Amino acid sequence: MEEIKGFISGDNKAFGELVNRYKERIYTVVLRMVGNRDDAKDIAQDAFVRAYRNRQSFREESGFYTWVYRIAVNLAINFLNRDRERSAYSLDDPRLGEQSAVVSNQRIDAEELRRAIDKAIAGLPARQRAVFVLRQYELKSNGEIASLLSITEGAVKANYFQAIRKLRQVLGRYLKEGSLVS
Amino acid sequence: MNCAAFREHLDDFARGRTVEYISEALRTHLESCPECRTELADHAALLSLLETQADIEIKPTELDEFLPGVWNKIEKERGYRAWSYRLVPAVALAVVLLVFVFRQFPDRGISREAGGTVENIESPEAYSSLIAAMFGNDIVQEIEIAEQELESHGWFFIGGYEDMMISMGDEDLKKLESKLEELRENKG
Repeated sequence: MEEIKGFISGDNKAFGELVNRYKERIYTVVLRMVGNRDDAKDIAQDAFVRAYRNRQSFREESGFYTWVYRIAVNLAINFLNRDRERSAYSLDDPRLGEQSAVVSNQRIDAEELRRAIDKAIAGLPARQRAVFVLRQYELKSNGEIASLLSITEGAVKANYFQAIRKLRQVLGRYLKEGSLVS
Repeated sequence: MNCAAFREHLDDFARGRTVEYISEALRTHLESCPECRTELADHAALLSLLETQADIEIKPTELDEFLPGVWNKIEKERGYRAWSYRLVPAVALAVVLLVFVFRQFPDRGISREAGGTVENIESPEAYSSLIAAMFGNDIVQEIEIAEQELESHGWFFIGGYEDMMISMGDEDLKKLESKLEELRENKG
């Protein structure tokens, strides 16, 4: 609480302590969304910079972490929208399908499966990806996600449904019987 | 419960997040619906597969430079803002000049040779009087501010009142001539 007061009044030490306390959690959610460590670090840092810049408008009741978290998630979505062309893989990428077909009758290497899931998630449109990551890995409820992204709960459900549908389509072959992760 | 309602709760049910009375209704529906059983099995398998991705490895030193990076960005932003603020007078000056130019040359593109029909105006004061008579005192003040601003940067007002008249359109030129005549008569 002292740090929050210090942060609002421009105490750099207090701000530094808040950054160090929350940097890993903020970095992790951004990393899940953008899939690249350098970009994730950059975006997470930008979230804290924005918080610092707008510290006068910070309302204590919302919580510092929640505030920065919201900034970070929205910066990540902006990044994904802006950087769509840099997205390494698309769900329509035929290479992914070929690879899946080859491995479907074998035991799948864990690293290979990780790459396939990364590619599948990376292929989702920005909003779907954000909703999916927040629900699947951040364990947020639809209401929380709606509030974070400033959209309706209906939109959260629709985006999540679309994301799951696409992931099942792409990862379906990994789900077949006999293709267990080693 | 029908299939649409079941699918509405499918994800929460697969994650064990539904309240008991809804879980019970879902289980009852599953007993009589093979399609939804398949749907649930597929969805649970996908969640299980995705769960293998739940942990992200962050190396111990990965975020060592995080806070210094944040401070660097803040400092950079401060520098940029300070630089931006220094531009404000220049931008204001540019706006004033633009306003001035557009008000002086409504017929842009019409020009005439030096030494045209208008006689030289003897002094900058006479020029200011003319401009004030034509466009009001505000524009004179704007011009003066612009000139002072330019001079404070070691520059000088480019082109004099003669150059300005050379570039004037016919209508403004006539207006200027008549005002000039009026001033002379008053002076005389």
